[in-house]
Amino acid sequence: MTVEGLPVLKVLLVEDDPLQSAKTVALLEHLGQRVVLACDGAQAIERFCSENPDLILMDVLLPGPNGFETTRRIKEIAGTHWVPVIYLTVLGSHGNLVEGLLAGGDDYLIKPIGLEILEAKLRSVLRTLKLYRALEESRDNLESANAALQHANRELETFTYAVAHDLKSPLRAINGYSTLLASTESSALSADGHEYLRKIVEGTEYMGRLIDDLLEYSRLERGSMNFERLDVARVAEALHAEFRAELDQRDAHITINIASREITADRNALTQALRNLLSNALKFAAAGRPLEIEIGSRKENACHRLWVRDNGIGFDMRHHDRIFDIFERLHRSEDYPGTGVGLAIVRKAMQRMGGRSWGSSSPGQGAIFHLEWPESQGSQLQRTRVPDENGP
Amino acid sequence: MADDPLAAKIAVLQRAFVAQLPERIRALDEALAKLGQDEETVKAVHVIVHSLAGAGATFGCPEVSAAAREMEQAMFPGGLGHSKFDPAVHARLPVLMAALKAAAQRAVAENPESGQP
Repeated sequence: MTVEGLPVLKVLLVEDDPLQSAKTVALLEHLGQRVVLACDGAQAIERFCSENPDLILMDVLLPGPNGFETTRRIKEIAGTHWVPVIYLTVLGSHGNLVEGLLAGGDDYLIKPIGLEILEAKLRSVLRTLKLYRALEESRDNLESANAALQHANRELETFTYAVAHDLKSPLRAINGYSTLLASTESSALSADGHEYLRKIVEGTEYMGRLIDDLLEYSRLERGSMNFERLDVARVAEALHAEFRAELDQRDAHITINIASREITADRNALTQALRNLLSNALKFAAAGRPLEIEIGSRKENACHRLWVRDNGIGFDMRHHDRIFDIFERLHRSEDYPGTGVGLAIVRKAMQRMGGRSWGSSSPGQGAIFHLEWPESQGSQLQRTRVPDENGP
Repeated sequence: MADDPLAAKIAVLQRAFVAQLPERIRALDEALAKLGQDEETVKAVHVIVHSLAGAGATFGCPEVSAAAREMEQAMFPGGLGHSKFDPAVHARLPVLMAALKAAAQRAVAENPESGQP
């Protein structure tokens, strides 16, 4: 028979006393439950593996491994799959049940076990079991969706990289032949023709920069991070040298303010992030005052923190989150040229290093951009002196 | 009774338990006679005493259950998960056993039909 509102469970009953076992079986079958029997701990483990029960009723004192030990082993085998274990015990043994519950048991029933209390306990277990199974199903669905999403993301990254890479070749041809046409057929071209060619070359150059940025973004997304010990002062000085011509041209001044030289970072990701921040500082310089840039670093809350500060045009903090999105621009490209990928690269670089990036500014008051990532990244590296990049 | 198959089944099991009581007491006597400090004999005694406590409660013999439980708690103060025998309790065993036997005899006497198959 079945009992209203009580689904049929497969119950593993672990009981060494045949008469007590027979009575519990009679009660369970009266409640419409399916029963699998085991008379000791070893058999319980074997039946658990072969029968996949929904619930286990476990006597505590058994020949061989006792009920607590058997429960511990079963829970180990079950892993994250929850199968409730209810101990069957006699009055006066409650003290020990603390140990039993710590071993992985979920509840207990005190002998003599009556029909009413058994039914109530089954209903209680079922409520929890129902919630647990819904949770398990959601988790499984989420894991599948996550795996599908990761797969789609990897495909998209590969696609982006391939497209960007393959676009470069025809672009070089357009640019090359346009330049060639302008020089070799100069006399045959009208003034309008020259202007059209100039626009074509400008367009290809812009597209080339865009493709380079997209490739860099894609490389950061796809590539593995290789953490190494770096001297941040040397990284900053190398970038200073890289931008020297442009800095001199704009009469800009850089201060390097390094409180903590030794860092662990992915050299390419960090350099790329700093390069883009420096490039932005130069690009968004304010008219009418010399550009001042500061590159700084310190350790804070077990994190490495670097910043690039400038006295440029700044930005409204209302747009803070937007400016880190790819292809987002606050200004017309005619006023401030750029691809709209720079800060997205900065954010991606920090994400890949397990950190974050953010800015702080107000219009006309300059801006400061921070890079921060945990010191623990790359902590498996041995504590050795940062190698001198100029040789031993 | 015949209208309630579950009650009928339980009554049969109850009679069977009372009928088994003398045999279970005899098995406990034998196990106690062999009792040493080794894990095997200690665990054998613990299983029989514990089973009497549980089955006594299950089959309507509360005195048997209480006497068995008292003996179990005296012999194995570590509780259910630990069959560690306290040797100091040896001196108390005859009294505890006598109480258990008396309870079992009363249970048999109160259920004269239990001898019937």
